[in-house]
Amino acid sequence: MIVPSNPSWYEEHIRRLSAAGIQSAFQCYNINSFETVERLMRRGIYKGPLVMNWVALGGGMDQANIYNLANFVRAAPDGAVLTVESSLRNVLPVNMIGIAMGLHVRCGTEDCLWNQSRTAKMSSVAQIEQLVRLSQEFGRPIATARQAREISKIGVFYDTVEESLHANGFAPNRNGGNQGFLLKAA
Amino acid sequence: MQFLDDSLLPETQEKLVITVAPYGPEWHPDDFPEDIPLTMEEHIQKAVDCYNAGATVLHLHVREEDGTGSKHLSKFNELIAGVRARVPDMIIQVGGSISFSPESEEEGAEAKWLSDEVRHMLADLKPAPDQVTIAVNTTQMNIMDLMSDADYGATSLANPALYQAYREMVVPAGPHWVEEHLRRLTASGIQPHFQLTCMPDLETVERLVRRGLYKGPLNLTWVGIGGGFDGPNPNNFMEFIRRAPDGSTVTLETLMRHVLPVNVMAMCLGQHVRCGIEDTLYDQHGDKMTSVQGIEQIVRVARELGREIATAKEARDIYRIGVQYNSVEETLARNGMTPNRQPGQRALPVRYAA
Repeated sequence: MIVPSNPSWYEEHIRRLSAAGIQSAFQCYNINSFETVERLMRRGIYKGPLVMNWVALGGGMDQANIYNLANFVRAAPDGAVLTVESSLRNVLPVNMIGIAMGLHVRCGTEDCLWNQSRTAKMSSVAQIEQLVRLSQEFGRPIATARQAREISKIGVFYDTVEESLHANGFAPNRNGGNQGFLLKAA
Repeated sequence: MQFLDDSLLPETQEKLVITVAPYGPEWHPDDFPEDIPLTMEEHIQKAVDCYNAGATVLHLHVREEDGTGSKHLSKFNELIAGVRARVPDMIIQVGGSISFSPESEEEGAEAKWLSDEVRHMLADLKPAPDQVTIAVNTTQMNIMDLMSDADYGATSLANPALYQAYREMVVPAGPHWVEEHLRRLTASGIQPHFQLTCMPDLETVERLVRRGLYKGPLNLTWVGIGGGFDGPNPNNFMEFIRRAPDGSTVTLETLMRHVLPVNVMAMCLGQHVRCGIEDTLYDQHGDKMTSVQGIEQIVRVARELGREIATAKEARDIYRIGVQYNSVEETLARNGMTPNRQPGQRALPVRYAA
């Protein structure tokens, strides 16, 4: 399986989603997905909150290991909202690492059918309950839906590249001189 | 790879292997007529000139005399034989990418790839090359992403159809093709040279080795050209080098004016380099630079660092050309990778020094 996502397609898709007031949630499967998103923002093709999933499924996407995750987190700007996502029995340990790191989590039967000892299937609700239990152990409160909307800045778009970079904690675009690829015309 | 306290010192590093890519299949001959060979003799002479300047690996593509990329296996065979006759020790590395340009006359066809079956024919080249490059995992390869107007504006890539085709280009390298291609190359005694675009590619190569689908030396090129591949950011290639097995070789490759700084960092880190007009037409000042000038520049900087340049025979040892292994276990051990876990084994299997 291949995820078809060429430059011409994703640029147009982001334009249409933004025009319809729908937030683009970027599914990044490795560091260069993120780098492409950064270029889209520096070139003004996406002007909104940077909300991303790190999708570590292997098979052409990042392997679910802490080096890939740490490298991704280091690259992400301070204003980004990052959710960790992996597959099958990697889901629970990756989510626990995510909770401990202050990131956000994803679960459900799309990601994993099994409990951690693979003795039984585990429903989506049971998976959520497990993460709630664990997050409470960490002392990390669970966001209400309203708080989650604020965290993800649902409905927020920015008017300019500069505002978008600033709000997401990116360094501004370089002024003057040869701006190189950063400001390449779309 | 581990870095020890003395790893930045030249006497602890392998001698430098310089790969040159002097045929530039993405360019039109008019983009650099002084340095783009057309006739077979010019192709061969270019290889000899690069060898004499210090390059020991020739990344090979072929052009027809009308300037288009050749799709004829016979032309590849002719060039390989011609280079072998003149510089027999030079490592011949056939570019597995768009080596065979398509039959189609449609605009932008230059950036389209041939069918899997045709690409497998690289295993049937005669005489056999030392290496064929192989991509692992199907990936967006937007070579225009990091090119500025100054880079492509005065070249054939400014043609809108061609620009779009190269912007949307995808490297087809799915699991079925990769596994079959590795089987055919190794059956022909040709070493695959892995062209990797990001960490997931390296992880896939490791899985191929652990599953016994490739049993040979790991020569890895990190290709940091953005546009779906890693960008030329030191964090990316340091992470790649950190994760590359101790027994592998790593060559850094990027494009346009990123080439020199990335190559200099590679040389400092004990890794290997690639240059030539396929990667950049320009030097750091925006002037055209031939492939031979690119090699000469690398040699100058290497001398400043005290890093010796490998002879072609030494480069063959460093790359372990012609070597294959008999088992998964031997492959893992020779490449410095931790052994496969035995059924029921807990924690990491311990790796013993060779």
